Amino acid sequence: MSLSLFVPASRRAGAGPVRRILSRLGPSWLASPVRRGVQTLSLLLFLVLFFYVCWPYGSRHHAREMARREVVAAETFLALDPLVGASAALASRTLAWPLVWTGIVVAACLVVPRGFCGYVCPFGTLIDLFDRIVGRRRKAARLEPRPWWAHLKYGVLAAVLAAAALGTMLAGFVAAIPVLTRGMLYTFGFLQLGLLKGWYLVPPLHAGHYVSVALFLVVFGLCFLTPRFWCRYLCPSGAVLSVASVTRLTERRVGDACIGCGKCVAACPFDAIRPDFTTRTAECTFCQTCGGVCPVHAITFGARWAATEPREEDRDDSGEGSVTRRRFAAAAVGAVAGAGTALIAGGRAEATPESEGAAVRPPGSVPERDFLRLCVRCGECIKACPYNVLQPMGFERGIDGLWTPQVVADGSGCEPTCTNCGQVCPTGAIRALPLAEKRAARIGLAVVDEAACLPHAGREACEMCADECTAAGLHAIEFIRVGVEVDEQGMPVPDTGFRAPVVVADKCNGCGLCQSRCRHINADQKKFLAASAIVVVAGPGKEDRLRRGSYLALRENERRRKQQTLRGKQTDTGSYLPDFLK
Amino acid sequence: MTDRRCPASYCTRSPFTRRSLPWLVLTAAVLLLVQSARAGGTAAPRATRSRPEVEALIRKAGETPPEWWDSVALDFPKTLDLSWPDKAPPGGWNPSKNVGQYLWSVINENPGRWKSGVRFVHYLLTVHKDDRAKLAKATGTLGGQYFSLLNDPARAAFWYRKSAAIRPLRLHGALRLAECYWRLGSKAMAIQEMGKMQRYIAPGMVKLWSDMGELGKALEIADALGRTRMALAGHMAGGDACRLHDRYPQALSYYQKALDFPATGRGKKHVLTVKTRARESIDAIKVYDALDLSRIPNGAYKSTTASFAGPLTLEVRIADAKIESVRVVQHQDKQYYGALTETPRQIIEKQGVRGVDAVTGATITSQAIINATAKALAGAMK
Repeated sequence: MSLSLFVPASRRAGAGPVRRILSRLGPSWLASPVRRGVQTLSLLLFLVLFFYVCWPYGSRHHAREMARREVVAAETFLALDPLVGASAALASRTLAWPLVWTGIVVAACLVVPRGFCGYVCPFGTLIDLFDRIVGRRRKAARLEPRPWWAHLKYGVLAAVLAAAALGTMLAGFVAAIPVLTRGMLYTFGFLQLGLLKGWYLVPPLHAGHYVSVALFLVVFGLCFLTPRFWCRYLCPSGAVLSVASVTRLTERRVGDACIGCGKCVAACPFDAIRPDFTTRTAECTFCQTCGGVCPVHAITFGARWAATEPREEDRDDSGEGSVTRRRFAAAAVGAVAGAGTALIAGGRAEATPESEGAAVRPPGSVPERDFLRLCVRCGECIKACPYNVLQPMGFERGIDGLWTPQVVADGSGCEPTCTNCGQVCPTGAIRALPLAEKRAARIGLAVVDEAACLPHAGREACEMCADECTAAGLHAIEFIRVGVEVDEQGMPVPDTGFRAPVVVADKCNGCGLCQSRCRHINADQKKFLAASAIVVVAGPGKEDRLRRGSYLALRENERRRKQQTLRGKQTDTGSYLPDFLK
Repeated sequence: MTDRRCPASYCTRSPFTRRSLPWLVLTAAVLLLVQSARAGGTAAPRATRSRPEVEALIRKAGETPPEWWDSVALDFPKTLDLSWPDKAPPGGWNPSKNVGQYLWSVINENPGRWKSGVRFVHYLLTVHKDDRAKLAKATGTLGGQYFSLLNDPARAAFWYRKSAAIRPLRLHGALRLAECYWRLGSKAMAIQEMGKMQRYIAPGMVKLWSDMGELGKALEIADALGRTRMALAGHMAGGDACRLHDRYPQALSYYQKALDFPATGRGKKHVLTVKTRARESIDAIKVYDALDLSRIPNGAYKSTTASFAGPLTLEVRIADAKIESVRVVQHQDKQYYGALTETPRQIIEKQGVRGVDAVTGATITSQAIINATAKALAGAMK
């Protein structure tokens, strides 16, 4: 059985037009065009999903527009990242559905070990591109092969998993696709927003943004040291697949024809070929470039059981020391570090009371503890959110809250026609809710600052928050007449006082449309106020956070319970026409 | 006029009296429109009914709960003092404690609470079943709520009559009962009811007589009011009545009297608002004849006038000497959609502002639209 997809050098003599184009594109295209082709398609798909499907403009009905565009799930690549599903499931102690995707990717390793890294991962492809454009020119700085940190990624993986096991989600900080999406969001994502919709929508940048972009740039910068440095030595998502490749059914084989020219070693982007030309099976991504550059066709890819080379992975004749021992050492150090982080973070979380400055989370967010464990900080919800209502948290809630989405309703409120954030969340930290459910889910409660609110403070008539609420069909703001003057008999004087807004707690879903309206007009335009006089706040009793089940049913039950208490308390609720009046 | 007392002294125990009376009548009239507007927009041709028919109608409706009754739960703040004292308790305006203030500043302000507010007053009947004075007050309040909030003249009449059976109605209640009869189809019953208050006068009477087609009676009362403390309201009511009956020169003189009214003291703001309406009505009437659409260049013209709750801005579009559209761009009379669409429709239909009827119950909003249109067009003429 042969799995060789490369084009052997020996068959390239009569160069046809296809060959010529491939050789223009580069030697790796010529050697393994299938792999480069798949990579290209994969990257294009990623870009389309990120910049087109997750571009929340084009229709007033955001949910319908997203459904129209989302032929392929917007979060596909995040779900495919094996660490995202694994750590989300581990941290939240649930069989989260992304595990299915993780399972598929890991299962694919049986046939194409680390195939995700070689063929699919858009981050890897971008790094390849960057390396080709920039990195190659800086050969001087390149490193010795096989440096001491070659096994660091196992340490990173162990740290993430250990932390996840203790209930802290670290995957979002280091897993390949979240690092990519977040980096893209704060660079090209903002560029897209600024150029196509207006720079006013780009939120003021804070430390969280800078750190995320810095991490993104560092990953590319590492290319100056060695090609795909990140993928080879650091990427924990790749490490998952390296571990999974233990059970591989296929392998790269080097035949007797090998003349020891060393072209394969030079061509291998993953440092997966030992000086003796045998395979470091945990690194090999089956990209098959080596097969294509081999002048004597000595390299083939096929079933593992037909392998001819010795398979002891940790043999010492290559001078690499005990590979297994080093991996375990790295993993152990990583696990301790991860566990330590988790314990510190966990302790902090316990110490912070829930009510204190609780962030307003997107509609459909699971309970906060689970939310922090499930959220991989990929920023996909933020990208898909119209008018930038969702914004990443900075360090204000420590490392726990870093890059998690929160509702900032100063610029705009949560659109009543939109369910994008839940649709694109790869881990179910934000549940994918139907529109009716989303509108029933309370994310917070609008609170009127009576000292600032113009009619409450007796400054002037203003009903903008209520207008906005009514226009959205929520009817959660009522009025009370305040500041009424009374005459000598204690009777109200006409034309005195104002109709002032009152929030009806069980109707308000915290969308923040009122807040943005007040902010725009009263603060930004008229300069009456420093900030909105009506602000959405979260916290226990002010929001609905369900792991499962219906928000509509929850609200209906609440309503019924309230009516029952109302009826229960008053034994006699009066009648329309009491007997004594007949 | 010695036989005519100002009603203010008559109703000292009412929660809403004196200067608040015209205001309340006004509020009631406008709130009423909300429901009629929702029920179907324009005023349907009025049915005429015989006395026994009206009596049967009142009895039948009055003795059965409205269809929403079972779907609305009894719900009121636990902080309310259900003893509902006649005199407001000390401590200032407190709608979470005082029942009257709660009804006024919480229930009346929120159409969504009107039914539950009515349910609450029904509950108060049971609470005060042994207190005749409170029963009279509660039944009278119900009459007012069915009349002004729920646009249900049959039930309003039923409960006003229950109240009257315990204690004679106060003036504004009696006036509304008369209007109920008129709206239910019996002018005779309305006139009979009006006859009972011969000794009293109020701006609402001018409006009702005028609506019933009795301009002479209406102006008689308007003139009488002009000699009391309610002169301002009387002048305005007289002006409005004349305007409704196309008596423009007479209307101008009434509005002019309103303009000459001194604005001082506590109700100054209210007086100034009313005077602005008078000024704008005069301006509108004056351009009725001068208006020549052929002298207006094509374009959109905006103007702002005083309406019920605040300024109203509209935009008139003129194309080829025709009024193409009249659109209210900004207003604060939130609930009065009937006037906001019906009046512009009539203006476009009649290609002018003359003879456009005020939408029943939304006189002020309708008038504001007519006034604003006249103002915009007059300003645009070359």
